Amino acid sequence: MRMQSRLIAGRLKIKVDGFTAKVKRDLLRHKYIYIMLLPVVAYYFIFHYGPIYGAVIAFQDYSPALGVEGSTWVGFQNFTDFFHNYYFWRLIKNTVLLSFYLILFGFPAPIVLALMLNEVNNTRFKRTVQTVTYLPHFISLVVICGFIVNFTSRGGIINDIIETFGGERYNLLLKPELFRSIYVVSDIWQTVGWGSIIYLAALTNIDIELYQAAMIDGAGRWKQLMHITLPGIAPTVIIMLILRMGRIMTVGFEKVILLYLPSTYETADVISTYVYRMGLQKFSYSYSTAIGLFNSVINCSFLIFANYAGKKVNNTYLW
Amino acid sequence: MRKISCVILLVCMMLSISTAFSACGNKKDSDLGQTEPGTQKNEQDKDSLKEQKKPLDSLSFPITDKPLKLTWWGENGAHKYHESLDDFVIYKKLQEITGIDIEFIHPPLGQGDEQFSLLIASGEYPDLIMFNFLNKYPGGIEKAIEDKVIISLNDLINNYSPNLRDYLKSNEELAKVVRTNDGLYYCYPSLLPDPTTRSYIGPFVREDWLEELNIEKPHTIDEWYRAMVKIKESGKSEFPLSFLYSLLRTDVFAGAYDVGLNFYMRDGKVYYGPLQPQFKDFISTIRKWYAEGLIDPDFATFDRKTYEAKVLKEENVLFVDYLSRIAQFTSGIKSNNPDSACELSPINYPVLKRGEKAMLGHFTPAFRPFVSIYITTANKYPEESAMMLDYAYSEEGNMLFNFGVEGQTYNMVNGFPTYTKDIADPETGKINIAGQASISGPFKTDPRFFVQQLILDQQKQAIRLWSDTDVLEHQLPPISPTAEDSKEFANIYGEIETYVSEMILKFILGQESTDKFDDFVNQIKSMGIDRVIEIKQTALDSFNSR
Repeated sequence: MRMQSRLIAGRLKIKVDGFTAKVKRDLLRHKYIYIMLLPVVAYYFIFHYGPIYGAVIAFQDYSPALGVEGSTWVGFQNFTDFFHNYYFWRLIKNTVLLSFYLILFGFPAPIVLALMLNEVNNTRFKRTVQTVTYLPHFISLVVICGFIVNFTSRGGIINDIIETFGGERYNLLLKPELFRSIYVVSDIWQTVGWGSIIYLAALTNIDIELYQAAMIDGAGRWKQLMHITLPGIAPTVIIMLILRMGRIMTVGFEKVILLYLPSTYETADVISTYVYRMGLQKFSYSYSTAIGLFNSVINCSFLIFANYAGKKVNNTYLW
Repeated sequence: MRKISCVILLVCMMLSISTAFSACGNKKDSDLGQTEPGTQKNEQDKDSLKEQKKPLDSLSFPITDKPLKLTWWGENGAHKYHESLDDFVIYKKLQEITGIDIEFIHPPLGQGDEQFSLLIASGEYPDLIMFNFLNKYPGGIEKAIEDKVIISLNDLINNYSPNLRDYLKSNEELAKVVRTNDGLYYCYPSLLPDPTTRSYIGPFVREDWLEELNIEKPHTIDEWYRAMVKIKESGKSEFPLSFLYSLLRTDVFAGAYDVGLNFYMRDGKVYYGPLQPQFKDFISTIRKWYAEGLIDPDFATFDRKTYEAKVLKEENVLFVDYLSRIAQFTSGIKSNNPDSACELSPINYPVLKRGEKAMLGHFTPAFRPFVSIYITTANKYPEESAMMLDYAYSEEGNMLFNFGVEGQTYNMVNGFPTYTKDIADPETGKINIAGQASISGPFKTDPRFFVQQLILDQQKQAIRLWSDTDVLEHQLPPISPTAEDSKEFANIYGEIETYVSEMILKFILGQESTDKFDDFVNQIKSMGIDRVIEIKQTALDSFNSR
């Protein structure tokens, strides 16, 4: 009762004080927190919001010497050029499919690993597994791709296995139909350990009493998993999924470039690699910016959609 | 009759007038050494500070007594030996002789392209830039001048660079290459004037193994095939032929079929290789070799390291690679296996029938725009820069840039500049430090340097064999379409290039049937290859009429 009246009084007072006074008071009261926040805000403004201005060159025939002010405006020319590109649909399809498989198989992988680790009682074994699965995360991508090229080559370990079972040796990276599998499987290998950390953290937050109560009620391990653990980490999972959806059209070009070949362009050439070939190798700044911008717009709409879906399904959302 | 002769006379007069006009127009731009006195005077009046009354006949050193500093931006290709070009004896000496201090700015290795974009966008240019302006500035070289990034050099070369001016005047073919269609000179060029030094990728073979198996060195495509089959059957090597896929682009096998993988010309007409019917024969041959396991099956994916590791393990017999690898592989194989009788010897580019010459082959253009010097608009001392850069084209400058300092890095032996023992030792690589720093720069490469760089007799033999093709008649000169055309070209050809490179590899690997070759050709046509060829043709025509 007392608290409520204080709240009401506080609210009234705020109204009396007005917005600026409120901000001032808040700043004063939490000044150290705001000071700590400052570098992060500055970082986002300098490195993430500032460069957005540069996206205007997508509507220009940009020439570095003339700068943004001096270059001629061409409207949507660069965009229509891309839409009429012979490879437009192939690039979209490859990007979406690769990303879709990454989500379909790559997204649940760390969750499964975290759940499995959670069931392990032997701490030493648990830690060993964790360390081993983290390791690839710390290896440079170039080296990782070197591994992949080696493993999949004709004399590589995968071909050794294939041969043992009577198959014929073949360089796997030359086959367009295998590219996505190689990419996704290696991606899981690369990220599963690191990705599981956040779920392991979420698991520790589940109240241990719930498990005890469930055990008294006669729930086995499976039932506990289904009715306590999974609902317990569901908010984390959904937030992660929303964030992941925001990157659905973004397939990092580095790894594809290190693994693809003209003969696998059919399945491997994605928007970002095309931008790379066009923008960095052929110096068409405006064209590649236009493609990048188009990509971001689609990403953004996926993010909004995922957020909306999360809200509807589980009432978990970002904003 | 009188009427007719009148008409003829009239036509003749009109023609002569028009040619006079066009000649005037050209003269102003392209003809060095004959500037019209009028324009010259006007400039003089405008700038009374200039003491120069007429074009210089020769240079005198030092160029200036006052302390003068120029900034030079560019990649250091010889970072292996010295971190900065400033530390190389030739650039030290150049600064000493000319009295001009150069401050070298090198972008981090491998970031040249990005750093160049940033540099241009920043608007704060150094005085001199060593970068591939010609091909990498968006919109081309004329746009770079128009955008006021670099300056046109016609007046500077004419008035302040007597050596380069005279050299270009006596080498019209080279002069044509280093100026634009409109006759603008834009750089102090890096030149490779001697054609015998310009073919340095080609086929070579393990001669000791061929002798052991009693196989003759193959000349024709058929002989290549038979030799490889025999080697494979003998069990000596599982995959006789090995090379990096990117080197297929040197047309080493395509040349035999009278076709190229890219654009080439014949009798002044531009052709695109993949459209030609012979291309199918070429691609079928490589496909057959691949299918029968004559080529290393990893050739499309392996990198240089993996490939060389296999070579050093003596897994292959025939190669297509750089000239320097002949020596490198020989010593590598021998140090791996001291008992090996390894002897690599070059063979000529394969042909279809003995006695023929391959139509194309590896051949570096005489002009290397990426190591040429461009003067920016920020340069406050263009005259002094012009004089300094001109030194490299003089007789003494030529000796300095190619051989270093006499008595220190080379001696004249019977009139032949010979490197000292220490410098010539292939183990140390010092030959690169002596002269020819950064492998190349804004000067003429002397063939006498090139010869001394070669360690083995086989290498000397190689440049003779590999340059014995008809490539000179068929390779396109460095043509530059107009800004508008090059944009259209980039748009259309960008797609075609992706498609063709994809299909070529698929044909070779057997992922696509060669029956589909006609569809392949039609597809390229429907993507607009005709327009691309037309653009190239227009550019070639205007190059020829430069």
